[in-house]
Amino acid sequence: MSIDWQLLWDMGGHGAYVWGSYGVALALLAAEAIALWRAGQHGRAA
Amino acid sequence: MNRNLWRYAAPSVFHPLAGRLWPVFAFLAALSAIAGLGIAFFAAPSDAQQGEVYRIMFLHVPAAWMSMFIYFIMAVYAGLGFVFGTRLSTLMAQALAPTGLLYGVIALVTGAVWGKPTWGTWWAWDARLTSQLVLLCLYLGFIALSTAFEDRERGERASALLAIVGLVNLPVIYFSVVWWNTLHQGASLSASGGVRMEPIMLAGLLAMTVACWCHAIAVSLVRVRHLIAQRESGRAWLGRNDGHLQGEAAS
Repeated sequence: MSIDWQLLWDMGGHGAYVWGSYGVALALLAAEAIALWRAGQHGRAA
Repeated sequence: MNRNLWRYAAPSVFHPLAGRLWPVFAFLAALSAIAGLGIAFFAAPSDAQQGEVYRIMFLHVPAAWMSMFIYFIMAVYAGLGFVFGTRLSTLMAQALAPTGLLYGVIALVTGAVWGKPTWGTWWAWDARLTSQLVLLCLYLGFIALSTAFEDRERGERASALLAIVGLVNLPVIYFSVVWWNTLHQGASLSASGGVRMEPIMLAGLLAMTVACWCHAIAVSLVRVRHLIAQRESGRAWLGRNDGHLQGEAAS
């Protein structure tokens, strides 16, 4: 099975919407994970 | 059996248990997300009406569901803490709130991004969107109230009351597309209406929902461990558990 990456990236002309929304979600989830990790570090240091 | 279950309500017992459980749920979340995203982008066909932009739904729908489920569970925990004064229930409610808020934000942002090419607008004061925005405000209110008072218990009781009263918003969100003539489409998956989508799309949606569930459980367990550690700092059992866990990690 071959994947047409250009087609996947383009998303029928809606690539910015699709990948943008997944990107925002990923950024928010990552921010939460980092905040939790930092809280853990801070808690251990206290 | 019941006696064994109740012992987990003690922070001293739950803290190490949460430490052992969260990596399992994090792993399951990663596995389900890989499966769900694989289906969403490589296996599911284009939608006949919406084309490719519908692929946002694999993220938007589970996030919207999670924001409601988490609110319900948070309100139940807050209610238990309010009525019975159980420390762990209150902490669980506080641990769930930021994750519920996060899923609420993801649902609204992805919905807006989907709405622009589909409806031609980022936002409409539609019943579903507005009630989802109210849910976000309830989460913010809960988080703000629980830390707003110098007397911690007062804050916890006030936030618990808000969480319980806010439960009324959940059926409003769910039935908004039935009760009012909304721009937002009706449910494609419901107990009464059945499933109105391709089985492969359903599989992707369910895999992403499992991923969100497992992620929410994992991060809430980590957060409740931090809250327990803050609240119970100085207690002898906390030092023992940390030592025990560090020993486990080293071995």
